[in-house]
Amino acid sequence: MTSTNDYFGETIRRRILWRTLKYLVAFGYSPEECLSLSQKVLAENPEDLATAFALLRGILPLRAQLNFPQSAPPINRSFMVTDQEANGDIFNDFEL
Amino acid sequence: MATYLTTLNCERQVDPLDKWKKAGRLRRLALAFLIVAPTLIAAWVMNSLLPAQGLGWLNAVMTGLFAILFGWISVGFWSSLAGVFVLARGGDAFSVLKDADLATPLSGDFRTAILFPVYNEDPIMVFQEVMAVRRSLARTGEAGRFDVFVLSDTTDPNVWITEEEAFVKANSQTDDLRGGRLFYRRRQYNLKRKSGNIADFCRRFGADYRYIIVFDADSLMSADSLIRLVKIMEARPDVGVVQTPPKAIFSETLLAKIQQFAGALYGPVFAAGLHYWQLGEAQYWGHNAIIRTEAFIKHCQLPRIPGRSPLAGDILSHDFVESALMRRAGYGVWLAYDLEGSFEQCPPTLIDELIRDKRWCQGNLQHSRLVFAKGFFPTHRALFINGIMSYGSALLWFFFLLASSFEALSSILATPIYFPEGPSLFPDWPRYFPAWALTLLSSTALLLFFPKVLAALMVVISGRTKEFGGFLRLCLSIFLEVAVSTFLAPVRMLFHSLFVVTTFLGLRVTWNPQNRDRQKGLSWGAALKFHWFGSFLGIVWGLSMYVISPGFFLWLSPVAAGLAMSIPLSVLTSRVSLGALAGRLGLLKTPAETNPPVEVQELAKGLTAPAAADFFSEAPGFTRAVVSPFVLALHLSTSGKKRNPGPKIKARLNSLMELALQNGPESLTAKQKKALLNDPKTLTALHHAVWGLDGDKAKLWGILA
Repeated sequence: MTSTNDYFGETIRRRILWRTLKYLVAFGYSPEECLSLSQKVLAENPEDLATAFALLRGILPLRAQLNFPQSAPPINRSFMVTDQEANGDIFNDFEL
Repeated sequence: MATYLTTLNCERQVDPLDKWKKAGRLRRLALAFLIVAPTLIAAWVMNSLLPAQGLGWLNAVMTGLFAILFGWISVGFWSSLAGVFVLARGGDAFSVLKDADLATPLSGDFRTAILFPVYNEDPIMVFQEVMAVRRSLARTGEAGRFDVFVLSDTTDPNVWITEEEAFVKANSQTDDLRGGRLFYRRRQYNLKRKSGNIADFCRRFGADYRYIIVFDADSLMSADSLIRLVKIMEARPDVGVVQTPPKAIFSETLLAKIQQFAGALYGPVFAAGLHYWQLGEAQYWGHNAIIRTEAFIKHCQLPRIPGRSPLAGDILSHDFVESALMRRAGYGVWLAYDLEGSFEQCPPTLIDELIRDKRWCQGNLQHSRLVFAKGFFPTHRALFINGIMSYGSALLWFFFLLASSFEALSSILATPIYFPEGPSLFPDWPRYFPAWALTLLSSTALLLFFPKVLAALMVVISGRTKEFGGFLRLCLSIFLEVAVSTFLAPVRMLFHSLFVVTTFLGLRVTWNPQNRDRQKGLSWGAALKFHWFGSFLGIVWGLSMYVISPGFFLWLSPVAAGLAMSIPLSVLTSRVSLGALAGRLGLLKTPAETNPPVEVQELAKGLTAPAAADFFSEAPGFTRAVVSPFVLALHLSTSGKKRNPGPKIKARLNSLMELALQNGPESLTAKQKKALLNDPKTLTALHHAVWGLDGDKAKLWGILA
């Protein structure tokens, strides 16, 4: 017969498993990797979700697919006009 | 500054192509004569028709207003007639497209940047357009010469995150895009709006690109037209800007379909007409145009308008001013009226259109401060006045109608004086000239509607009626377009008059068009809120005139009816179902619908394709950035390096994080969400803390189990 503590212990383990799986899937890990990493977390017997995620962060490998595309090329200011008031002269005189 | 002006003068003198300038002067002179001479005759006839016994000052005001309005609509009439002349002759000798060597591929070591400035627009639509353009370029083999930049000024945190996700998805497409690159940059502070966004690009990256091609968030262009634009610029070093005439696509609501149809049918004629008299002194419309980057950076920086009046400060409608500055620097600004493959989208509802017009109205009225500014060419001064009149004419028309009503009222209420003071052989009978009145009315109608008839005739003669659904459907569509635009004209007049008055008074009127369902259109409640005054005015005005002067009521009835019906007109024209019904009946068809270009087909396909779903795809962007480790990593990668915040800011960010953890993402304002998104450390801490939440607090973030 399962004791009350065992029951809650099992529930928290199940929650940790599902939530780490969800996290890892969202991160782009394959199903096999997700299961393996979740099992590694569970093997440490974390007592709550926060501890479980602290453990997970410690064992997450670096992801090659997170090399996101470069969002901007190098800056080249050689055309820059330093005069911030350029064209302000159009208001200096009345002229048609 | 003296050196700078000397440079400008030198550039003007060395302009190698002077022929168009002489032709332009002659054409504009002819246009001025064709406008002024008939206007003077019409004003004289109008003055003769007004009651001789009426109020002298009122007659003078009415004649003056009529003359300005008659002259104003004459500009459109003669431009269209010139357009018919150009198209009937098979083109214009000065078409800027003729100078481009279209047969040989592009050569030389230079690149072109395609810019998509966006501001809280639908990121899915924007990046589908980006991909349609890139695929089109890849098919030509010239993709490697073009880099695409999505320049975001987005302020909505949810849209911001969705843009970043769409950017990565677009870059991870498996298509062979042959060397073209796609970049995404978001400004944290959107100084000077769109013009500031483009200027920011120019300062940072402009030197690497010989040309920039500016798109709008709803623009699309074919690779063929993009390459042609570059070839024009390569062939003509004296050209600074080439504007293309975009055609409307993807219209769904009845109003948008009507605008799309009108643009497709009348647009080519009008664009050819504009080209005929503007030549190298045309205008840049802010998008779907190519710009010579170095000249733009050196000569087109926007000055601040001095003073404190409502028309001072940063220039709002930058495009017209930039084209005037470009011409001032000696470069030509051309409208490539004969270039196909340029598209845009119409505002879906009347309210959306009016909100856009409000912005444009402020911008155009501000140009009144530039009409007499130093160094501009006369054509651009005239074009500034033209822009002012686009909205000012509404107020003048409104005044004219008020004055006419007052005249009708006074002629009924005042006792006629048959025997004026002083010796007289005959009584002074009231005089009426019905034939003259009819002539004047038909002349005005001719100016308004004849260009439409001519444009339709051009389609019939060139055998292109099938592209518009066939001859019968073309005629029915024109009838529908004329009917709806006639009834909407007074509604637009009233709002434009309001915009002019509020702009000059420096009043801020903010509208929030949130009551619109894409399929159902504008709600009756929202329409009532916007149009109650117009409807009330139309009913009261119409009924008063019916009682007081039934004869004048007949003249006023189209205006009064349009105003009185503004609520149902606004609601019904916003309906997608009515647009679809018109489509099923084969009405309001356009060539872009009948034979859609590949780019348009691809964009339509991309927009209807189901998006890949994940655990958090239904959640708003901010929630996804906090919860999804992938989206968070993406966001942090595009954020760049951030300074460490000071203790006060750090404490504020921590309190925001606590608030978010306690009450969920919806408890934060957009400003608070942006503060968190702008600080990588707090955002990462929030991400970790959220995944450790349990129970109801976890549910607030969409994390179950």
